[in-house]
Amino acid sequence: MPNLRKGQAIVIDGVLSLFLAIILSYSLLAAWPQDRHETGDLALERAGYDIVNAFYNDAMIYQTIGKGLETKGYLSGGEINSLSLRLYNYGKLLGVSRIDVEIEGSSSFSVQISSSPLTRREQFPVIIPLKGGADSRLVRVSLWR
Amino acid sequence: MRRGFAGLLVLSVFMLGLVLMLSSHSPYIASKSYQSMVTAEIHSDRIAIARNVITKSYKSVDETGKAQWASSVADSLSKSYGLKAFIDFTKTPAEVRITDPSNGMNASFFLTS
Repeated sequence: MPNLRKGQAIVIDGVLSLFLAIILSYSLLAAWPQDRHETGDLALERAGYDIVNAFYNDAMIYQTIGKGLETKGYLSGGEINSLSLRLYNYGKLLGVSRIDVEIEGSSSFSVQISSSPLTRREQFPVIIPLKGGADSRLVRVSLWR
Repeated sequence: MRRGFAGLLVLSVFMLGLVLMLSSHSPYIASKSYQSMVTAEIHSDRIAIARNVITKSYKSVDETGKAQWASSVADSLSKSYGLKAFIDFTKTPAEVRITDPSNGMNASFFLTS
C-alpha cells in the first residue's frame, strides 16, 4: 500500500511538472513576438470603397480620365493637375496620407495629403471603359496610411 | 504521506484549472482569432469593392464593347483583386459570379445598365 501511494505521488508529481511546463510555455508564447500575418487594414478598405465610388460618381474625375484617354490616349499635365486637386480633397476626407494613381498606358501621379510617415498601402483597381467598352483601361488607385 | 498526496491532488486540480483558463484567454489565441476575423472581413470587402467597380463600369458599356469589357474584367480587374470573375451574357440580365479562390467566398449579381 505505501508503495502504491508513493507511485501515485510520483505520477502526480510528473503531471504537475507537465502543467508547469505548459504554463511556462504559454507565458513565453504570449510575451514572445508572434509570427504576425499581414491582415490588411480595415480603415483603408473602407476608404477604398469610397475612392472607387469617387472615380465613377464624381463626373469631373470620370470625364477627365475618360475624355483624356479617349481623345489623346493619355492625360495631359493640366488634366493630371485638376485630378490631383480633386483627389486631394477626397484624400483629406478619407484620412489617408497619400494617393497613387497608375493609369494603364498613361503617366502615373501621386497626391500627397499629409506629411506623416507612410505605413500601410492598399490598392484598388478601377476599370474605365472607353469607346463603349471596346477599349477599357485599368486604373490602379493606391491608398496610403 | 496521505496529507502530502491530498495536497498534490488539490494542487494538480488547481494547476489544471489555471492551464485551461490561460488557454482560453491566451493573448496568442486572442490575436489569432482577431487576425482571422479581420482577414475574412477584408476578403468580403474586396468582393464588395470588385462588385461595385463591375456594376458601375458596366453603365458605360454598350452592346459592341461588351465582350472586350468582360474580357478586361475577367483578365485584369478580378485578378488585381485576387478574385475570379465570370460574366454570363446568355442570361437576361447578364449574371456575374465572383469567387475568392483563397477561401471559397463567392457572390453573384446581375448587371443592369
